Amino acid sequence: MLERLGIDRVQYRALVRAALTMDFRGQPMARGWRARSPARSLVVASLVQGACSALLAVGALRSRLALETLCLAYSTTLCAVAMLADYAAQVLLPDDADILGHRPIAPRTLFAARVSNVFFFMTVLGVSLNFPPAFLGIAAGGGLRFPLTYLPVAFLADYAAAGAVLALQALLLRWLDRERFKDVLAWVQGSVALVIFITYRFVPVLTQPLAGLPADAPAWMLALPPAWFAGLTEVGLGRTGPVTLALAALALAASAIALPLALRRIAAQYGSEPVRAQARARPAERAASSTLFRLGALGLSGPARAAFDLAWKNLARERSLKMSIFPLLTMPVAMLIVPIRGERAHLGDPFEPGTEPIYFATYMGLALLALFPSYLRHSPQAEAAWLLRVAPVARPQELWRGARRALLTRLCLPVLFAMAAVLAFWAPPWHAVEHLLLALPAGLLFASLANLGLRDLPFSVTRQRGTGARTMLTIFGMYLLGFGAGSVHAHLAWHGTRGALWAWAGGLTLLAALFFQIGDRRFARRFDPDL
Amino acid sequence: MIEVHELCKRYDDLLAVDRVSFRVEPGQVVGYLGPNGAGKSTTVKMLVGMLKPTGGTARVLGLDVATQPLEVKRRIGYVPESAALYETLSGREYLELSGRLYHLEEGTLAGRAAELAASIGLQEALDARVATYSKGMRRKLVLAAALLHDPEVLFLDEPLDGLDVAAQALIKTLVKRLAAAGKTIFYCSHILEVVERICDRVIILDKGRVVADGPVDKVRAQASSLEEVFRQITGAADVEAQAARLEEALRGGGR
Repeated sequence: MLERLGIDRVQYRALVRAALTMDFRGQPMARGWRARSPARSLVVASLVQGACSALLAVGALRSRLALETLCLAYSTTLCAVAMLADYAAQVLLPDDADILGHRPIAPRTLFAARVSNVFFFMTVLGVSLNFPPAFLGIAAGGGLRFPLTYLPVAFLADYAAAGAVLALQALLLRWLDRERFKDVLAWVQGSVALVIFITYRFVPVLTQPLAGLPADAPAWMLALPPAWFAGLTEVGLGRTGPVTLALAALALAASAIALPLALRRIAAQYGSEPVRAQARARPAERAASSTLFRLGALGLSGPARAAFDLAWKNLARERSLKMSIFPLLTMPVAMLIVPIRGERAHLGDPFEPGTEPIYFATYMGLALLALFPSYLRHSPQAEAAWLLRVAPVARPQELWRGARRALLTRLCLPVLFAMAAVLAFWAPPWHAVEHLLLALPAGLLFASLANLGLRDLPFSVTRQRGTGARTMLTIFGMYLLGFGAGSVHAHLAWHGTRGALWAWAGGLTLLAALFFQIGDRRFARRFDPDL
Repeated sequence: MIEVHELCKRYDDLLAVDRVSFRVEPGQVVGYLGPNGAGKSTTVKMLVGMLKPTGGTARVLGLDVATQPLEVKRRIGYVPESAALYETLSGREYLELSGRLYHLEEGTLAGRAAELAASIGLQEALDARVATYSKGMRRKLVLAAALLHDPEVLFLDEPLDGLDVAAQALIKTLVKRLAAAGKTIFYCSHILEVVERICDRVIILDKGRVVADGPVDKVRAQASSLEEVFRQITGAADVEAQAARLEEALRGGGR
């Protein structure tokens, strides 16, 4: 059959096998540590995400169609985001042209292998995400037939969502050159990530109306594409009313359009030469002349200064690093700005009782900032880290000190100033600054906890595909940590003295300093220059 | 000076370097030869502190590489086989990064970086991003970075790979001059003609073991050329027979 499609079967099998082997094998995070398989991480993280979606949808148990719609909305969104963030570039802009470009591989074969690899990952993601909701449907009156009907429909919905994303991107690639396309892609990825992370923040608010859902899904819900696939599930379960039949027809039509359209659009890309375009010569931006740079570098020398410079310039120029961090930077500020429906009254002076949203937003924002140093581990040019390993660096933690300082000066400080400015909108400026200063030690503590797990040198690990889901989970975990710390702070602020608050903050600072010491020592002990 | 005694490196079942011993005097240029997978790069990585030996000892400038790796690293320069670089930096920024890792004083660093870049033919591209460099330019940049802190011992792993004729001539002359100034050069290469021309001595490695060690003239005297000696020693002597077998396999005779 493959031959009839113009695909070389032997090459196709070899390419798919190689891609899957690499995906399952992963890369060692550091010498002496076992390689992490991105596929395995994806399964675990997606199962947790699927369980979360099932838990969130429990509120809609009275309406099975609404329940299916919610779970399918969750899984299709995550599949579309995974395609956008992790896999689209693999299909549209493969980076192994140096290896395969001179081989006698027909574009169609290469295309088929790439698409198969990506859809394999979509299947893994789809199974893991939809497995828990498939069993929740039994409790919603779907009986034992429910998982058997729901799962195939869910796959179709996920493939259609991923296909739609791919088709749109391939369309974009017709108008933009590759470098510009990568920029646009990165910004789109960042914006979507931002929306998702902000949505996490409002999960309790967004799920409240679910409890009040009628037994029949509301009309507005039927306009959503996931509801169409929910209708298809219902038809599969034997509920063949005019509404469910119409929804099922829409689902089939959407799939029939999205998937072939995506395949046609991508195939067109493979018709042209697959060799990566040479990077255009462009001079290096001047990234080292600002006062902020000089201020940040103050007191640093030797390896710490070298790492500061490297991190500073990478934060200014390296696309993947910028795009993984920049959208998240807006979140601490956005969470303080976005008014919560019906809770506007609580966005007031943090020292006035009843201002929980301010506390949670501040602490969650700081928890998020504390995660950033771990992003400095990654670089597409991780191989170049040989320089750091061969250099006479007596205390490897100095490299991290420099890199962290660059991050703090270049990105975190401006965000903290912006947070103070937003807080000052609801409270007297001094209260805004005091609130932030009191919360900062918790941020330091979160950062010191994250520092305990450091194993690699800055910019020494290549980011792997399939790790997006794990990152989302980590951020969700940090949110919970921030939520807990915010609750304690709020309690002390309203029911204790100001002195007790400062003592608490002082204690946290000391604890953070201790953890940083321990983390740095552990890193120095673990550090092994073996390549 | 480099002293290696019974040096070993084992990866699970594979003994990549097997009880290698040699001694290199200051001012000597030693060619370290061997077929692919013989253990050349592994030996060098152990000598520069990037890999830990699993047996034996290695001393560079009297310092034990296993117990004093930092002291060794401070006084050596290394040009790796793969010229992996931070592509988002400019050439100048890369040299600055490298110099700071060796604690070079800022004034010295700026002057020396500019001087080295100019002498190696990189001055015009110094402020362009490394991503835009050709293979030869990358190689030159790595070499300049290796020389920046004025090392006493230089480890060069295929340093001429990707360089144009003029740059190759420059590096060959530079190696001779550095040796004349008392620096020790440990030169790994597959290009036997170059080794014959610039090295005082060759060490030939095969399957992780030293199979020949001596002055170039003396080793070469064992056959008509260094290449012939190399082929005889590493068991690749019957090239004609191997080529005939290969041709036969292509015709389908191997089926």
